[in-house]
This record gives sequence, C-alpha cells and structure tokens, in this order.
Amino acid sequence: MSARIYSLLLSLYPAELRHDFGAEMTQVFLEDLEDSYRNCGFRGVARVWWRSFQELLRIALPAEVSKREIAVPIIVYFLQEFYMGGLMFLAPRGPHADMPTSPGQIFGFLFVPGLFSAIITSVALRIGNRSIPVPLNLGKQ
Amino acid sequence: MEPTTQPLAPATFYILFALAGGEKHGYAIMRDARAASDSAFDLGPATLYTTIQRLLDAGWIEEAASPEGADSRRRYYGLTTSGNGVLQTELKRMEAIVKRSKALRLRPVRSAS
Repeated sequence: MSARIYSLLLSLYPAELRHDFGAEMTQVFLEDLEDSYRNCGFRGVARVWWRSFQELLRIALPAEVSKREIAVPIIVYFLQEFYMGGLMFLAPRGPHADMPTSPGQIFGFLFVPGLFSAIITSVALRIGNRSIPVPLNLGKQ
Repeated sequence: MEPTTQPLAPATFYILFALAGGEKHGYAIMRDARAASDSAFDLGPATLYTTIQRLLDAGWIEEAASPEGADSRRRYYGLTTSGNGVLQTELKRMEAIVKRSKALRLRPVRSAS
C-alpha cells in the first residue's frame, strides 16, 4: 500500500530523476518506513510521510512549475487578469454602473475567463509539443 | 564541476562524509548521514537521490561495483578523488572556523531566565 502511494507521489518528480532513481527511491523509502516503525511506531511512520510531503513541495513542485506547459498558462492567466482588470478599473463608469469596481471584485469577475484562457493555452502547448518531431542525433553517425 | 571554495550544502556534505567511510548503497548513506548529524539532518529519498544525481554529474562520486552477495537491486556509490578533495577542503574550512571561535573564546549564549 505504502509502495503504491509513494509510486504515485514519484510520478510528480522530474522524469529524469524518476527514470534514473525511481526504483531505488521507492526501496529506500520503504526501508526507512520499516525501520522507523520498528524504532518509533506510528510516530516514526508519520515522520517519514511528513518528510516525503515536504520533499514533494520542495523538490517536485518547483520542478513542475518551471516546466513551460505549467508556467506559460499561469503567466497567461495573470497577464489577462492584470490587463483586463486594469482596463476595467480605469474605465469610465457612466453607462456601466453595474461593473465591478474594487480590485477584489474585478479579480473575481475575471477569474473564469482567466482560467479558460489558461486551460486553452495549456492544451495548445501540449498539442504543439506532441507534434514537434524528436530531434535526430545528427552529431553521431 | 570544479572543487568549490563555498561551504557545501548540508545534503552534499553528509553524503560525501558518509561515503568517506567506504562504498555504500542509498539507504546506508541515508542512515549514516542521520547518525553523523545526531538525527538533526533528516535526509529523505528525494533529497538523497537529487543530490546523488548532481554529485555523479559533478564527478565527485561514482557508481561502484556491488559487493558479492549484495541485493542486486541496490546500487553502490563511492567517493572519487575529486570528491574526496572537496570533502577534505570542507573539513579544513570547518576546522578553521572552530579554531577561530576558540581563539575568540566564543561561548554559547545563555538565556537570561
């Protein structure tokens, strides 16, 4: 059970690390879990899981966010929020009295359109990446 | 990667320190690192293998042959000459700090209560 959960967590780590050391990482995790249970009982088990969670936030998450497929939609989302939000904030109020006025209201109003743009960007990037052919190793014959 | 004059990151230091005692597999490195730091530094599998990956790339450690009768799923790692040099430099740096603190007669700060 623990091995299965840890394997799921491993899928969030960078592919290169998983490919080179995935099996070893799982084995080391399980050995540590076993030793911790033997020495400290459930407190030891909780400590090992807590550390794995911390590692996930410290190592896997930043690596994931730095990927283009993740970073670009986030940038698109915030650009849209700031651009559209800025326009709405500065727009004259005359005939549109029902428009949101405070920054909080504007961000709330633009949340769904921003999310939609981010999802569209993410899908487009994934489709684009799939159609890029794998470069041939031209240096070595 | 060239040997650095900057202090080593804790994970790098403890892995090199653990391997100074001989070739070891991942879990043995983790245990030794914990023991060397009196359990103050808790090295997890992801930190361990991210650092091992970097140290292999830097040429400070290398994959070693498994001892006879060892679990075939385990990979063993050993210190290279360059890795040993880096560790010695770090140990000298630490020694110099301890000497300097003794010369300054630094004492641990005691709380007022």
